[in-house]
Amino acid sequence: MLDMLAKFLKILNSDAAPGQIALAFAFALIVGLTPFFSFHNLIVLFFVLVLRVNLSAFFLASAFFTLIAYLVDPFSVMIGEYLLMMPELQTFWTDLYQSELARVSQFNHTLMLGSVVIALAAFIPVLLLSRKLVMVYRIQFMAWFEKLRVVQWVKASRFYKIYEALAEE
Amino acid sequence: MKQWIRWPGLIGFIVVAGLLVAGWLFAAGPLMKMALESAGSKAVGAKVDIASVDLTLNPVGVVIQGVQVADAKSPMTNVVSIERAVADVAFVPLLLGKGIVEELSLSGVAFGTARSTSGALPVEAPSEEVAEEKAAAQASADETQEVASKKAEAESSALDNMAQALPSTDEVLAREPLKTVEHGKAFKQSYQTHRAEIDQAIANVPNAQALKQYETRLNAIINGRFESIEDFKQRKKEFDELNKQFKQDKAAVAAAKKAISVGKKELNEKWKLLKDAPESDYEQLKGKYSLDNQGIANLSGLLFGGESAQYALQALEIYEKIAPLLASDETAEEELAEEDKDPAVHGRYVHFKTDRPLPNLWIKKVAFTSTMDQGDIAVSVNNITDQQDVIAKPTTLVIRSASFGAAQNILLNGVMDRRQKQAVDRFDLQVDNYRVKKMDLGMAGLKLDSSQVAINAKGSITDGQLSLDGRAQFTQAKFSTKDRTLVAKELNNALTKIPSFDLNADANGPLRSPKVGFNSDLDEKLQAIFNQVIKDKQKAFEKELKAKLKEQMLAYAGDYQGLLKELGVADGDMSKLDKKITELSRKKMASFEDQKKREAQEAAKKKEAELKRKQKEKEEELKRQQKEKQKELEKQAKDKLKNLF
Repeated sequence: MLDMLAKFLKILNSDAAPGQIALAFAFALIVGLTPFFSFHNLIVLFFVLVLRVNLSAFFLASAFFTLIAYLVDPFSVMIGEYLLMMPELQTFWTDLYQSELARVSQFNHTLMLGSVVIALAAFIPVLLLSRKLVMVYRIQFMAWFEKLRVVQWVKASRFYKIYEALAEE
Repeated sequence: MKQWIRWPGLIGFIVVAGLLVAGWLFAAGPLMKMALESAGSKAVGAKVDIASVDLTLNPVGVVIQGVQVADAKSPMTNVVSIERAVADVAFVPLLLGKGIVEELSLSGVAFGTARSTSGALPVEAPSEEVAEEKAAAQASADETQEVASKKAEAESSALDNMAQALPSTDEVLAREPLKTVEHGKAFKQSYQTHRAEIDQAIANVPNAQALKQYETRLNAIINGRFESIEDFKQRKKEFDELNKQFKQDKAAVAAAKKAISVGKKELNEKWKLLKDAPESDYEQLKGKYSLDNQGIANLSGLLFGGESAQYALQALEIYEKIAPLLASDETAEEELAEEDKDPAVHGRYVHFKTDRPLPNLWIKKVAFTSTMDQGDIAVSVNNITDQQDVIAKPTTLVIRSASFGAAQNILLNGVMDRRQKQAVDRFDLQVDNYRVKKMDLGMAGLKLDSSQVAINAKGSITDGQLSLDGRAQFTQAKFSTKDRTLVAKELNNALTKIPSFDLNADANGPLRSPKVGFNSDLDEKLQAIFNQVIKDKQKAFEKELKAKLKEQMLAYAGDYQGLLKELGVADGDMSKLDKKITELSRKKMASFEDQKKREAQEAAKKKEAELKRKQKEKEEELKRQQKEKQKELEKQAKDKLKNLF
């Protein structure tokens, strides 16, 4: 965990493009909020590995969003239930259900559908917001942050030594 | 764009995917082999050996080689062995964890092959529950077999040897709970109790000698003059004592009378029951030990029941091995239960109408042929799954054989329907020609030397309840017997004249112990032969039974009439005794004052009488003197008159 946090701080303070970090957050949102063992997460993993997405940010954010998922799951279930039961969509779902490939996606599971819908809806806002925040951090807060007593104290700690060691790699 | 692509990442993804596929190909096979062997062994209770399991990618499938399923009852024999099984597995459902096998092709299927090693599983101490269940199942099976064989034996012997068909009357009386014995014992017990009570009560009452003594004493007391007041007192004391004794004796007599009356009443009641008991016993035993139509009407059952029972048991064993495999998988049910546990948090699957359902495991078609010593059989099974409700289709089975052993054109259709909660399995068997040779029949040493049989049977099992209806048409039947008994000869003679007959069988009730019935046109033809013999035998048996029961009743009752007379006499004696004592006790004793008074009165009376007597004497003297004086005067007058003349 410390290792991961150190890497994340290193990335925040590095020259890594804010877009790569933001994309990691956005992809992590999908993996974290939706059930892990699912077909769409394999696709996400493909994109995470092939695109220059910041992996440390991705894994850390995945852990973070997994925790958030415990709070969001009941709402995901409600949305999934609502959508799957919507009379107007019954024909669509029934048609989709005839496809085995579609059933592999487990679209007919209320939690799966609801969480995917939430994650996809939040994908672009999270991408843009996190990119903006990284940029704001680097311009306005990075220097101030490093001058903080707490940060000074932290720099003397074991945590910081790990951070330093990683930074030198 | 180039700065957004991470080529090593793409390689990494390909490597990860490649590793997964390699794992699928190399590791999954051995893992499946282990799983199949373990699950198979558990299901059949004997070793299931598999030489290899390989996975194929194009088409996606499983190839299983060298399957040997050992026979739990005979570990050195295989129930079935399969050289090669190829399963054509649907790929996409596999990603959902669903094993959909489009077709399972089996080759080299053989039954009852020998094994090189024992197929027995290592002995594990079974849990108490499992052991109990097994013991109960075994006991039930044994019991069914035992009951069937005992019944067959009993019925067979009934006809085989009429003399031994019924137990002896003594045996019947010894083995049956009889009312005669029950009431006899009660009567005897009651008699003994009351006898003791009556004897005791009679011993307390005075006898004739005592009564005579009482009378003598009483006379001595109440008769004679009191000499003095002391004499009176003494007598009075004795009189009171005697009266006290009378009271005691009267109470004793009353007690004895009551004891006799109660005894008589109860013994009479018990006697009525005892007297009626032999008739009641007789009616009950007559029905039970009967050689009437209920006893041997079912001759066809006797003849063919044993053979049919053997076939039925074999079929039952096969069915009981197959049926559980189609039962719903508990694990799947548990998963479903868990799914439904908290759908508000964990979500749930919403299912839509589809013509492509996906159960956990579904073998759509299995077909194979097997060459056996008796002949070739072709087996085709469709829709093997433990979730028939999901696929909405039952498992169907078709077994065909053009020639199998002595049978020709066998066709067995089976439908095992578990779609509803109530499992329904239906079977339909047709055998065009079954050649019977030297078939031992169930009685009189009879053999069906040869016959041709056409069999049609329909059966269903609904929730463990069997309903079976079958018909066998025998033609060109030839019988023989080596027995020389009268029954055997009569039977053989009768059967010689019957070359063709129909045998109908039905079985209804619990699978392990159904009520089996046979009927045939043979029954009517053969029954007439036995009817007269049976009637005579039954009559003799019933007569003897009746006599024995009466004998037994009398043994308990003893000389009841004598006893009653004795009690009657005793009752009469008690009445006489009571009367006598009452008479004696009514006698009074005069008081001393009364005696004085009486004596005074007597003295006064005496004096008065004396006075009267003296008065009378005086009056008579006076009368006599007057008479004499009158006579003197008359004489003097006469003399004077004489003197005058």
